[in-house]
Amino acid sequence: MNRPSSWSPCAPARPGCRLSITRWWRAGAGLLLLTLTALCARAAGPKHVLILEPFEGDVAPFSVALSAFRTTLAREHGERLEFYEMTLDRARFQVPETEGPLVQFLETRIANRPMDLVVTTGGPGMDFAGRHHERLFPETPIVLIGGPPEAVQAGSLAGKATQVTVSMNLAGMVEDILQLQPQTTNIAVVFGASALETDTVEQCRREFERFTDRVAFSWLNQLPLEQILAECARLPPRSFILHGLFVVDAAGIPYARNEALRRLHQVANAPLFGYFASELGLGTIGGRLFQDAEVGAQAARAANRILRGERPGNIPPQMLAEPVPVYDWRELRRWNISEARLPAGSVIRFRQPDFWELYRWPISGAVSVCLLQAALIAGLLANRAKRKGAEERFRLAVEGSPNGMVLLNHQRRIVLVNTQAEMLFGYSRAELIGQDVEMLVPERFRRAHSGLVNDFFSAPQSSAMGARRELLGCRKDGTEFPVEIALNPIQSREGLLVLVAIADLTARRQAEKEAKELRGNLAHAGRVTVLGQLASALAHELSQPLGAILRNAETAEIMLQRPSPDLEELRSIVTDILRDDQRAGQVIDRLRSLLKRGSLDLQPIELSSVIAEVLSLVHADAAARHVKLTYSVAPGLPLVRGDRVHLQQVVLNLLVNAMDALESCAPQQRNLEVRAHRTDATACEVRVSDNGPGLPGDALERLFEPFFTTKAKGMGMGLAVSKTIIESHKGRLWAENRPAGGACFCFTLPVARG
Amino acid sequence: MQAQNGPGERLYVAVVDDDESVCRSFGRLLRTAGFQPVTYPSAELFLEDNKRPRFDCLVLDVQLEGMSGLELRDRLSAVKDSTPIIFITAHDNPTVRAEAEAAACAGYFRKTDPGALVLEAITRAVKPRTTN
Repeated sequence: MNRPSSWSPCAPARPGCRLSITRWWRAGAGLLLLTLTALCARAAGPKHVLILEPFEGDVAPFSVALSAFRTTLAREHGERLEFYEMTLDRARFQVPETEGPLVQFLETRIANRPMDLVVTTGGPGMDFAGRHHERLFPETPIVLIGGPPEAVQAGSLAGKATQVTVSMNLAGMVEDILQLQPQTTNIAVVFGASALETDTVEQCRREFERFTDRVAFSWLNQLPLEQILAECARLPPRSFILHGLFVVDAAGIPYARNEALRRLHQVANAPLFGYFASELGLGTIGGRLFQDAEVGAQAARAANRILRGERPGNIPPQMLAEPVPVYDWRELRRWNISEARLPAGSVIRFRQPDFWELYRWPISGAVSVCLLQAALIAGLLANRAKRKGAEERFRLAVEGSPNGMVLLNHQRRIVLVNTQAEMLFGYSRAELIGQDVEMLVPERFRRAHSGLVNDFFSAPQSSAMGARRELLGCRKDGTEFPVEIALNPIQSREGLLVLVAIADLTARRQAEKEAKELRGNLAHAGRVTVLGQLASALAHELSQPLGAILRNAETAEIMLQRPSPDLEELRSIVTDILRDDQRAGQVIDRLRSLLKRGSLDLQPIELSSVIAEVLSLVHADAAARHVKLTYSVAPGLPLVRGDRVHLQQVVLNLLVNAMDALESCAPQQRNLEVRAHRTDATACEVRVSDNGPGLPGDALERLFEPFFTTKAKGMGMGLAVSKTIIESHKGRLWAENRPAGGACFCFTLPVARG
Repeated sequence: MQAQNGPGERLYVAVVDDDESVCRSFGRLLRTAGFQPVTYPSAELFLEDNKRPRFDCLVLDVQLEGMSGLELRDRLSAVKDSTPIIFITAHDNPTVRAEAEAAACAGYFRKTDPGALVLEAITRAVKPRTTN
């Protein structure tokens, strides 16, 4: 039974409702047609696009390529499109003989609704299209994403289809692995067990042949997933796992949404290589990855040409260029693979420059060393009665400790100290011995401290006194410093003694403070903070769709007052209103994520230190991206009036943009220069220049508009925000092309008066 | 609403705006109000259009890609073209407003201002010409 269900009015805030998407589901014995159409459906001729998904559910890379295709086409086509999605479920229906009912169903669906374009992906989709296009859609142009490149020219699809694909370099996967770990001796090859996967494994076996003299391959494809996981959890040393494709396992269970990969990553005892770009971040290490989203996006561009009237036969099959190697920093670190091993020009993602990470071990180390030593010494001390000379050894151990050590008798008087303790507190040994320990505590805490010490004497056990709260020590000169204290009771002939180990936390607190500030700054960077400035960008972006909505509604109002309104025109008005409403919603969505409370705090500041701090932030990134950073500041630069955090945001943004632009240069030629100098009595100028490809003429003009971007993944807000920040400082930000090539971004700031 | 020069002769209004949606909706409103709109996505394309009719009024976006609405006005006045101009803007601020008003325009509106006001300004602007 087919019936339209779920008539959903177009909710304006939901992106995607400009397109009506129809998905055909299998439900029980019958097939249920689920249409999700907007109110505006069936207006003046939308184009119909049939998407044949090879597998049910969300199976990468196929679903990734198709969803990139859909999004890109919707965006670039600009007019209404209706997408019909149909799954071929090739995981379950692997042989052509079982396709009968599917083909019949598809035929009925298409009979009354001619398609303007059919798109499918991968070998399985391609085979299906090749077998059935004559019957199902003889006249409809076809776009193929991925798959063997020769399929279009040679097969029955010649002239009717175009293809965008990537050259499948299977041996390249092993090359990439050996590049990272040349000493690898075993590679576990993990694949699913569908026909497609089995074919691919056979191909791999042939292509990996040339590595068999240095690497043993274990082929884990004809196994249920559980068994594969068990194998991968106990691989011998010097192993690597190659995760190819996992659609369905040998037990016939299909796995969608990268489930197999995720589980593999959880248990694997060796690094994991995955071939598809969309898997990076899920635990694969990286390499020259198959650009599954990119191939879908490129295919959408070919599809758009077809929808605009070009013949598919006139669009030559396209092969994407060899990808830039990309790596997951976390995995490299996890498996201790040096970045020096990566091929030149590699991109490293997911880097976490976390200072806390750097300091955590020294910090917690100090505490545990402190406790450990106290326990060790206490142990030695306890043996004193039994061993001759133990006392001397004890003294030596105390003396050798990197922490301050103080031994107290039951009257809380100091009976022994080490040199560290003398240095920490500024007292000499003679001044300390025989004194009450309270002299080392700031006066205002003595009462509370005294209580704590008494508590300890009444119930002695090893503990870290400062573990939960900050204790302060007091030096001879009266200055205070943060300490962490460990106490250890020692039973001796003289009664209960307490060994106190004291760690100076000054450095740790300083590191924590710096880490916190740095995190704060990093969190700030790249985000919009100047609410007032942003409001004007927001008003501008919203005025366009809102103005258009208003004009359309006004027109409709006038038309509706007439005796016989033109319904067709009214329908297109409603369609346009819905589209503009959605556009406005997207503007708000994009900005909402950026908005943050904040105001400018203009102070006289040193421009050089602002820049230096940002440079220290990006230094590691620049090095990893082979960018040579130079910085020069003219002598005697005056203070400028500015907000440190916001200016850092601008400088950071310009540096990151420049580094992105330099990606297209050879690694040894990536130069980025920051210069600061005074232009006249009232202003300083900062110039950030790169030797990248420079800015195309039209970009120079539009660069600072909100949402203008030349980057595939850019938000297009960075420069617009930077400009508003600089302008709210009463400065100027502009871009120019350098005569010798490359771009230069410059900004001026007023000199602080007085 | 009537906007006719003489019997059967419609008044030509150009809309120059780089936002396609604004152009289309403005054109629609003008057509429904009885004008004959012609839309251009840029000032350059407006100038390049050799077959453009003798417009009775121009509706110009202030901030256009490339040549701005204000620059277009300057170009036109340099060749003694005195077609009345109405500026529209999505980026209303005092500077823009002052510049537009200094350009002696027949109207200055935000894109979100009521269309009736814009139509009224157009009608008012073309009247002196049509009565000539």
